[in-house]
This record gives sequence, C-alpha cells and structure tokens, in this order.
Amino acid sequence: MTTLVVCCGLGGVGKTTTAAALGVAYARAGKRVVVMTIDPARRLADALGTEAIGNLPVRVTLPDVSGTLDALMLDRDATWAEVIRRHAPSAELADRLIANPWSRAVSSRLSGAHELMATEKLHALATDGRWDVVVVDTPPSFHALDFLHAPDRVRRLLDRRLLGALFEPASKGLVGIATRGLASLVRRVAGEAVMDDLSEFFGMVSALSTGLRERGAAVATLLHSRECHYILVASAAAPREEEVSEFLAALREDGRSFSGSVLTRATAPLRVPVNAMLAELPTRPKGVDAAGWAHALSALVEAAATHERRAARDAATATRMARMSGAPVWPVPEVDTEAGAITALGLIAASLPTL
Amino acid sequence: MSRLHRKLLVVTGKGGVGRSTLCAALGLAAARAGKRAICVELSGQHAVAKTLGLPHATYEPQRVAPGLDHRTFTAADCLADFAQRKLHLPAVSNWLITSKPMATFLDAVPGLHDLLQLGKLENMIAEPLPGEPTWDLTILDAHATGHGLTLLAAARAMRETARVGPFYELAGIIERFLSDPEVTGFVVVTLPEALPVHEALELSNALAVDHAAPAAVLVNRCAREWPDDAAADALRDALAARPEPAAQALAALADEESTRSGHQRDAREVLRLGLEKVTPLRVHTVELPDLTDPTKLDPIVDILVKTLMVGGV
Repeated sequence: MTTLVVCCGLGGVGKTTTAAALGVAYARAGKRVVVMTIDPARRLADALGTEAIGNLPVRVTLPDVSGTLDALMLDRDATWAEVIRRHAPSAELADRLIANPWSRAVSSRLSGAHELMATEKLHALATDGRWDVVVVDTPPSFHALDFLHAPDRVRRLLDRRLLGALFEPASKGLVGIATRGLASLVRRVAGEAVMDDLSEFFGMVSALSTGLRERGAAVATLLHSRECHYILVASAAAPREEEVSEFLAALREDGRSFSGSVLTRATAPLRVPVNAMLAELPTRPKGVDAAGWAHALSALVEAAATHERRAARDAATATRMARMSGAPVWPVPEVDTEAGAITALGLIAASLPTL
Repeated sequence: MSRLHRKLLVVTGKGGVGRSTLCAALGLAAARAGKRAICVELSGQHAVAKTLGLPHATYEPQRVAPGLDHRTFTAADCLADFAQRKLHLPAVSNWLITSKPMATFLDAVPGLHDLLQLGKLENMIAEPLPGEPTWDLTILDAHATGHGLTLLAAARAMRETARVGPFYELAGIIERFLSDPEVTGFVVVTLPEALPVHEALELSNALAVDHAAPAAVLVNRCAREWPDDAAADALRDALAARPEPAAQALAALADEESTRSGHQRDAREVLRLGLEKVTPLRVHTVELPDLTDPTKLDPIVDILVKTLMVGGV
C-alpha cells in the first residue's frame, strides 16, 4: 500500500519546503518517494536545485540515501487536459473541450479547480505503483480546509444539470415562471452570446460528470484511508491558531487521520539563560573605540533578548498546538539556505518524522 | 509615489510576508496624512479588518479609525451591485440575484468572482453614484497566489474568454483602470531574505510587463543590523576566547547575528539591483522594522507617513 502524506496549511508558512524535506526524510529511511508540489512559484524546483519541472516526476540527486526521491510540479492546465481525455466519451469531444475558451479558463480561473487538479494528480501518483510514499504540497489558499472540500464542490459545479434551469427554464407552472425570470435575468447580466457559449461549454463538460464523479469517489476513498496522513504546517511567526483548530475539527468530522503539526521557523531555546549570558559580558579591550564597543554590546544584548522572547513564544505555541490537536508538534528551526538547498532540506528533514 | 491624485494602491506579495498587516498600516498612514482612506479586502477576507481591530468585516463600509474605513467584497454583493448599476435592474430583481441558482452560476463560471469584485472596485473609485461615499485613497489587499497576478490578470482573461457582452465590457473598463499609472499604483511587499526578494522581483517584473512597475516595494521585518565593525569583531573575539558556556553561547549568538545581518544586506542589494533592471524609474523601497508586537503598528505607520504619504501617494 502506498503511504500518502498531505501537507496542509496557509500560504507562506513553508509548506512546500516542508513537503520537500519530508521527501528527503523518507528517502533517507530507504523509501521510494515522490513529492508533488503545487505552488506555481516553482519554489520546490528552487529548493531542490532542479530546473523547472512540470507534471512529470524528475529524479533528485541526494547524497547518502538508500531510497530515491522524485519531484514534480503540478501543471494545472496539463492535468485538466488529462482529466478531459480520461473522462470524455470521445476523442473528438475531448479535443473540442480542450480548445474551448471557457474550458481553458477552468484550470486557472475557477475557484477550487486548483485543488481538484491536485487530487486528480495525487490519485494518479498513488495508484502508479512506482512509489512507496507520495508526499503532496497543497495549493496556496486562505483556508487549510480548501483542499478538503474544494474538489467535490468543483466536480458538482461542472455538471450542467445544476445550471440546467438557467439555460432551459421549465415551461410550465410557478416553477416555470420563476426559472424563466431567472434565466432572462442571467441572460441580461451575462449577455446572449456569453450565455450561448456557456451553454455549449457546460453541455460538453457534463459529458465528463460520470467519470469525474467516479474518480471523485476513488479519490475520497484514498484520502480517507488509514494510509493517508494529514500534516498541518504552521509558521511560528504567525501560527493563526483559530484556523488550526478549525482545520482539526474538519478533519475529525471527516474521519481523516491527523498525524501532527510542523511549526516552521521556530526559534530553539538558548542553551544558556540570557541573564547568565549577560553576566559574562566582557570588558572593553584596550584600543577598541568606546562608542563602537557600546554599540556592539547593545546589539548583542538586544539580539539575546529577542532570541529568548521568540524561543519562549514558540515553545508556548508548540505546547498549545499539541494540547489542542492531541497530536505531536514538530518544531523546525529556520535553516540557513546559503549553504545549498539540498543541505538545508537535509537539516530540516532531521527534525521531521516519517509516518 | 509622487502622484498626488493616485486613487488606488494594490498591495500584493506572497503569503507570509505580512501583506495584510501592511495594508492596515498603509490605511492608517494615509488617514494620518489627512486623506480619507479605505482598506478593501476581497472574497469576504478579513485579515486587514482583524489587524485594525474590527470584529466583523462587512460589505458596507465601516469606520475603523479617524479618516479610515474598511470593507470586504463578496462576489454575490458585487453581482447585485453590477445588476443594478450597469443594467439598471429594479431592486425587485434582488431576490433573484441572491437566489441559490444565481449563486451557483456565480461559482461555476470561471473568473466571474474576480471580475465582479474588481468591477465594483472600479465603480467605487472612478464612478461613484450621487450620494455614495467616496475616498481619496483606496488600499486593496490583493493576494498574490499562484502566478502572482491571478487577480489582476482576471480582467484580461475574461475579455479574451467572453469576447462580447457585459462581462467583456466590464473587463475592458477594469483593464484600463488598473493599467492607468495615474490612478493605480502597485505596492509589492517582501522580506529581506533571498527567496522572498527573488519572488518580489519576479512579481515586479510581471507587473512592469502587464501593467506598470510597482510604485513602491515594502521590505517588511528588517531586523537590526549587526555592526560588523572593528568593535563588533573585538567583542566576538573577546567572547570566543573565554571558556565559560555563557560566553561561548554569546559568541555563537554574535556569529549568528553577523551571518543573518549579512544575508539581509545581500537580499537588499539583490532587490536594489533587480529593481533597476525592472524599470528605469525610481521605485520607492521602504524598509520597515520587525515589530515585537505586531498589533502595535505605530512605528511602521510613522515610517510610511514620512516616506510615502508626505507629498501624496
């Protein structure tokens, strides 16, 4: 059985880097792992030192690992085309859909479509058989919940029946009057030509709906299985704990298995208490400028105080999150990336679990 | 940002750089400089509202501080507004506009959410109806997910997709409005670190190609510089020479600070050189301190008033 690890969290918390580092951790543990990143800023490509990669797994060279690491970047448009080809009843319809402007707008402009493409690709990787572990990054979003709920919502939206009344209002009775009013209103808002185009588009895309629904059910089974682990990534600088508890509640309600939280950019406690340090401040050596010395001392004292305050804050956040979630919290320190991206990922991986 | 009559600041930047916090600070700075300002969020977001201490963000403008209002758009509110304004539909149509099938239509048509909200923004600033409130400066919290310009490219995409009709026309109006540098200025928020600076430059470049070079780049969370002079070196040496664990820990801390400070300087330099390549015009680069308490924005507001607001945005 393939193990799945889904990294959820808000934008800018280091989700992509965490996913990549988890990949390194699994490769070190001897697994064949693939990491899918979804962020179009190509940060994973940067972090892994690979050239731009899109939709196809690329082998990442790692020093001293017994497993293997592959990485890929989700290409939404390509994935949408794959989805169309998979589910369209004929190649001719698939071609027409792929060329349709409204269809082309789906993968980039429809809210939630990014998440849908991510789950489609995740399913393809998980059922491929080449990998022991699939680690996925999730699309940047306002709510960590989007990844859980958006795909199904979009699958439903891409079914013409839902909008049928707007295109072909019922002819009889009260329902007829209401839907005709609505249809004529929509026609005025959107314009005749756009409504005709949309009617054609939704007519075509509805041909995919059976396939989309079946695939949706398969994806749901996968995402609810015991082999699918959810990890929440939060930033120590702004943990947004309300969102974290909302996310946990949704996972629980959904019966998905939560494994723990990664707290990125966490400040490790100082090895020596700050007061003991300050007692050791040296006296000014001969020949050193007094003003410069005072300035350097004040910078050092300020740095020590800031470090201690952050460490205390982050330790408290980790404790609260662990209590709130009833699951482990893995603090990950900020890592110097100048030494090279792979080295940095290796350092982060040392703080991460393999589930 | 020397154009006195600029009406809209579109604040953009990747997640995690403190964009919403700085939107709030820009609003407060504008108000302090004597402007009637409003912070606008999209899709029912309320991060700026929260920073400004507003318990509930609403579509209707709310006063949050002297001279500063706040509102958040939703696609449904903007659709109702669009129907009444552009199509002169009577208010009785409102129950249809807010009906469930209409909401589904709104969700199912790719790009419609963005189009309607940007359309409302343009209306509010450029074509207020008689009796409607107006502001000197609007500050938009524009999330830059994905390709960074997702929201701003929405108008162009819709024009190409719709080809004709009310959506097409609205998209054209929005495009002209956003690409008029006299009216709209873009503000890119970043951090003094390698990756965020790289992303800020990508974003600035894309803006310069698609619209106009950013009016300002805000470098958030700049930490105090480590002196890195002879005295600072002497301090490190003096600490490193002593065996006590506390002295060793201090020496390690001094090393870390020196490294971090060096990276920060490098990142700023990369940003400066990069922006020179983006545009021959000067881009205001404003460095803002790392706040101990992110809810107390005063030090940042002070800097923004002095650097951007005096003389007009």
